[in-house]
Amino acid sequence: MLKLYFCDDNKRQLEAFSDFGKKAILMKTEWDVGFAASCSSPTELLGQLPSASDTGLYFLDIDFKNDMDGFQLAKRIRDVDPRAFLVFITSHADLAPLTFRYRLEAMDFIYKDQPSKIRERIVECIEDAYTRYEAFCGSSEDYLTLKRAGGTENIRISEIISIRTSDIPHQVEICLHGEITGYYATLDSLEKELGEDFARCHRSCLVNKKQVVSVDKKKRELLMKDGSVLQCSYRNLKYFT
Amino acid sequence: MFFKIVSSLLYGFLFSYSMNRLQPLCQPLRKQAILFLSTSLYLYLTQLQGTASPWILLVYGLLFTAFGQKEIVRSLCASMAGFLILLAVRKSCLYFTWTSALPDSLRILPHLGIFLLTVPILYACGVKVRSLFKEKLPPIPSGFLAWIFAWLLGFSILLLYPRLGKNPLVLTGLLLVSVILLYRLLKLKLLELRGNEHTRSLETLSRYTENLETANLELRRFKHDYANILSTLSGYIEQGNLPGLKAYFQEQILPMSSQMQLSSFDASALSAMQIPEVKSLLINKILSEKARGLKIKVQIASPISWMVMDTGDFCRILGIYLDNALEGAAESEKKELEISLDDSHEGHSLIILNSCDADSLPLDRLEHTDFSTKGEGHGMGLATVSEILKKHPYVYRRTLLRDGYFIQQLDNF
Repeated sequence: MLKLYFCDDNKRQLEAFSDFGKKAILMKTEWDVGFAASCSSPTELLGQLPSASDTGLYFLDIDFKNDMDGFQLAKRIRDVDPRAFLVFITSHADLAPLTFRYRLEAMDFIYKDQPSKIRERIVECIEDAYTRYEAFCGSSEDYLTLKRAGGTENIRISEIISIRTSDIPHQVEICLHGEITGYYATLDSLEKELGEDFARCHRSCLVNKKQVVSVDKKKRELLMKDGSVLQCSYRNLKYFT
Repeated sequence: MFFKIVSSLLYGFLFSYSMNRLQPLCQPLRKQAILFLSTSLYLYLTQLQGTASPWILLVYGLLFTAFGQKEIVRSLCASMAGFLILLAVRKSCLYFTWTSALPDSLRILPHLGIFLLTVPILYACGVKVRSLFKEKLPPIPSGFLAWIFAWLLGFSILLLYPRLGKNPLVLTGLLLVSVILLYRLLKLKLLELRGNEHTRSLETLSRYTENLETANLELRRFKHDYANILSTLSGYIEQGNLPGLKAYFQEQILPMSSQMQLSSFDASALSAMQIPEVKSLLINKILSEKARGLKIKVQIASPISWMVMDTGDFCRILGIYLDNALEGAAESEKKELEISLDDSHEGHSLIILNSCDADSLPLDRLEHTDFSTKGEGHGMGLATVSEILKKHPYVYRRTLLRDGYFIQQLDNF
């Protein structure tokens, strides 16, 4: 079930937003969605996180007066609920809102200083989150869990385009569409773990066969879905044809 | 007889010219004239016979020129240098000619030659010296000048008494003086370099302060406007004038809020960065020419006073990322740039984000030395970052191109 959470230390705003949220899901009786809690402090929220089978959609303020900020709260939420959808409610005067989004893969954010639009935006976010939630449940998604920067991250295997050894010792770089990230792992161990769908195109690169669009045998190149072109060694061509 | 007069005048002039030409301050013509005449007379009368007479002349020349000047040691050095040049030219010329072989009437020739050679050399050196001292400079320490004088004197003696050159003690003594002089020069140069660093950091600081002052001014204005707005609002409320209140809110207050977004970069955002080199780098990049016209936001969530990674390495990487981001943002429509530094329990993390109009970039090839979006001759930046990170395997990197933004992320430093 997709559970809605609201967290803001301003009582009026908290009530208003929760209200919008509750009303938005009232009509969607066929959806597997429910209202979980509205909390006025991060600590309160952390005490009410969902169980393992549920995923949360969190509407979070950024600035809490005497507690951790929205960003730290989001991290803690992610620790417990890795697939959580995060929406930050911020004002334009806030510093660097865009980086928040990429730091924690926030789904979206809503600007407080356009009050007439807030209701609309909350509804949009709920719909967006639900669509994604449904897509999760449909497929039995496989994840790769790897270590990075003192913690771990989950990567959806179907989205991996290629994996190659990094210039940085003991690391590999995983390429997704529009993203390259470094992780602590070795190509050999990953090759074993990932199984049949992945094959080496050369000594330092592992490729997701499902992401290959075409193979140019003469030039020994693989064209991938994100437009990148990978060189393949003669011996390994056979895995892709 | 003729020869004696002419040669005395010639050398009299040369001597006085050499004493005066290298002086940083132009010497009064009368003083030069007196020196010229007195020297010529002395030369005519004594013909420099006897071991002491050249020395008497030298001392006289040095002291006479130094007399009345504010910086005595400097003037002595200048005179000594001029004298050394005169000596060097004369000795070199006489080495190549045979005065004895010339008939009497032509005996003046080599000396004319020396004259014609020395005067331009001294003139040129004088120009150089004067240009050095054109701007007001702090006085050069006398100790340093004393060593220069000793060095010049040493070489002069060597030229005057060439046989001393065979004496190893003399040579060693001269070598010692030279080494000490070189050391003093080196020290001076290093101090100068340090001074430059200092000046640069002062400049950075003053730009930062300027920015803070502007921000402060804006804040004062805002407080003032705020008071006015409050009183207007309370007026409407007291009257119970809801339509009027609504109208005022829509027309006056909402537009203000969108205006506030566009305000210029707020330097106080950098106050949490407590590592001076990083702070200085950030200031310089953000307030640089390239950053004009860009919407820049900085957030440093909590105070950062240390980092695991070597600060110098980090600054190089940050510099490269920022240069790329500044250019990327400038080329885009939205012209947005955001810098975020965070301090979590796992270490620090950095995100640099710039708006980007490119639909896609070959992210995996960005770090290759032959790749660049800027054309030939560029492309070293990200490759350099990779090189630096090789030394820091605990640092993790991420590059994203999404939703019209290009993002570089660095974690755990």
